[in-house]
Amino acid sequence: MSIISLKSLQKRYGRKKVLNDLNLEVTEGEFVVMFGPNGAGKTTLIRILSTLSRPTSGKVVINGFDLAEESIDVRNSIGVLSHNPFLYDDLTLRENLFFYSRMYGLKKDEKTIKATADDIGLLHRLNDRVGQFSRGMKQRAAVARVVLHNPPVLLLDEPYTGLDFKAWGTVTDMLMKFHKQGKTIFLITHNVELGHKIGERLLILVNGRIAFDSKKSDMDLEGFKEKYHGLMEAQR
Amino acid sequence: MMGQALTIAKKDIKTEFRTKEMIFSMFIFSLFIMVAFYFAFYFYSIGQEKLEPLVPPILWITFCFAGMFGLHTSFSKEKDRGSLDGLMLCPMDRSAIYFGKIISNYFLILLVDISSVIFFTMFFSYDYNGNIIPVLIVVLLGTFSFVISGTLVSGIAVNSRSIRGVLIPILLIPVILLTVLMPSINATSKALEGNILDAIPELRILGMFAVIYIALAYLLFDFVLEE
Amino acid sequence: MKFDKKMDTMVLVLALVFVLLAIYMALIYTPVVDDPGWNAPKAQKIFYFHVSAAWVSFLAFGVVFIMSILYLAKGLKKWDDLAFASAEVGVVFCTLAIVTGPIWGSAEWGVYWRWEDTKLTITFVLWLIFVAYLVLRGGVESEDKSRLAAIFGIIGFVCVPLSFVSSRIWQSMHPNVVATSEGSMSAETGMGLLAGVVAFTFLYLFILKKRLNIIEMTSKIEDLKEKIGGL
Repeated sequence: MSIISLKSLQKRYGRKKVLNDLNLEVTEGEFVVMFGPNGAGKTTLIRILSTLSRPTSGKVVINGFDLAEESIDVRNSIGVLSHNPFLYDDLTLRENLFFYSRMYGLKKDEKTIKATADDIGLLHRLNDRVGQFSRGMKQRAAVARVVLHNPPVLLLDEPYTGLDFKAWGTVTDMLMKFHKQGKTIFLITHNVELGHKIGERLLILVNGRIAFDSKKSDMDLEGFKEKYHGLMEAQR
Repeated sequence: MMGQALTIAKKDIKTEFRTKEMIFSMFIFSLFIMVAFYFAFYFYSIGQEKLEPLVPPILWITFCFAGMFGLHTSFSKEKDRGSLDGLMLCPMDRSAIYFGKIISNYFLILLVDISSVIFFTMFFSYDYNGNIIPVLIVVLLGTFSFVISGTLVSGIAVNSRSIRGVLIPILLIPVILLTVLMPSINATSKALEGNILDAIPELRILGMFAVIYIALAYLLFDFVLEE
Repeated sequence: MKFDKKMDTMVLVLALVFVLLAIYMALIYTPVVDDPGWNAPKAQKIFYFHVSAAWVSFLAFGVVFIMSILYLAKGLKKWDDLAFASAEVGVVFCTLAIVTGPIWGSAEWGVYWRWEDTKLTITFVLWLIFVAYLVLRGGVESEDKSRLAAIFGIIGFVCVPLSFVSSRIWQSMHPNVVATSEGSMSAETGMGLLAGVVAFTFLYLFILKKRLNIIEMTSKIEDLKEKIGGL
């Protein structure tokens, strides 16, 4: 059963076509990694899937909800992580987590907040302002924000940008853990080695179209790299 | 939805009191406007009698410009730090963001308005003849209409990178000139004369516009945010 | 395309004919007011152009309002282009109306502007709103421009009837030139005014169409530039 379904999705900014007749089915529990050169429309795609941007035409269904009609249900089904953590620097970690719990209509008590903070290894910093955190700590905190409402689908847009080695490992470990829990993961990254290592299905977006779609098992890293660089040329 | 709006408002007020970015600059700004007015009128050694017709415009011009200062910060802070996207991801009707901002802006701007009244009274040693309460009632209502239209317009203006700062006054002043500013000034002058009941037509107009602007915002605010 | 061209010519011819007719009607055909209450009876002739310009500006801003709603609902670029063109042309006609008003005012009242004149003041505020609309279009760089302008076009236009309601709290000074002492318009005056309004409406349609053509050509040029890999 497919949990994300795109049918002839188009996005235009003025006269410029960013996404061009996109069709895609993602099965529940799949770990999809999307690559693509700059300006291929990856971020636009994630912004449309996360209801931040309105498609020009086409149909998107996520977790059985139509994006155009039931956007609130869609937002309840997704967790979105980008390079921006969406946290308030002037609030403490505890206040941030409580804020987002209330925004998602959850009744979170002190215990669950503490457990969540423990999961990301920031229990001892719960009462510190997020503004004092390092980039990596912020991103770990952002992961906690993303899964507060336990969404079945995770959309990740370059979550590794600017992370140190330790945070990199933590984020990857958490992604693998969520994947094991059966969550569907849709990751966008520049990093071919990493994407190839953790993903199950590899996509390449070029000029607003899916130029390549394959199971990882059909493609070794070297072959994939070759393919990717070939397609990069096509963008230029 | 109202629950989420309240959560946003509480968050805004809490961060504001922690950083004091917006409220501090608004206080200083309103103080400086009052100083400017004081020196503008100083050499005429203006007395209570002559001052009376000038009170409403002095007050409302101060409220208006200090308020626009605050409105400017309210959205641009969320926009620049990217947290606006975080709010837009929350499962609710997006007008909750607008209503949340209305509540926090109203609270903060009202604080500044009241302090402006205090500055004014101190500088000009003005005697309200016991009519301070009616004046404050008008301030309460007029500021509400101001915040309702101003929050909507500043949501539009925040999208400009090059001229964001001037865009709020340019867009907002023609919109509020006859619908908020004129009735408020009229009502304040009537309240100063001592009879708040005379000002009921103006207050009714303010209330009516508040309702209409809220309705417009409810209809249009999705478009303000969504790309 | 051919029919389109023919329509253009038709509108131009009609505009020219009616403008000439309106000038004749206003300056020669219609009688000079003979009421001792008027200080400058001949200056009243400007009324035919003043009212026509004001009418066209309201029409143009009404078009902006409707096109803005259509654009938000459907997202088609042509509605946005139409709103933009109409706003620009409307501002020009509105300028005409708020310039001719004071010209008459100085002859009749001896002062250029009376803020108590609600109709003139509201027309002026409307002018401010749509000048702000054009500033907004120039100030937002991204593709959000059309959407945001549409929102402001709606808010701005809704303000106008509201302003009329609010203006009731102060007294109106706007002259009621149209009505005679019996309270109805004389036939000649009515005809003169009608000719003026029709002439200005055709003129508006003609300029609007030309402006739209320019907008379309500009975007075609942009497309071509992109194709050849320029800026």
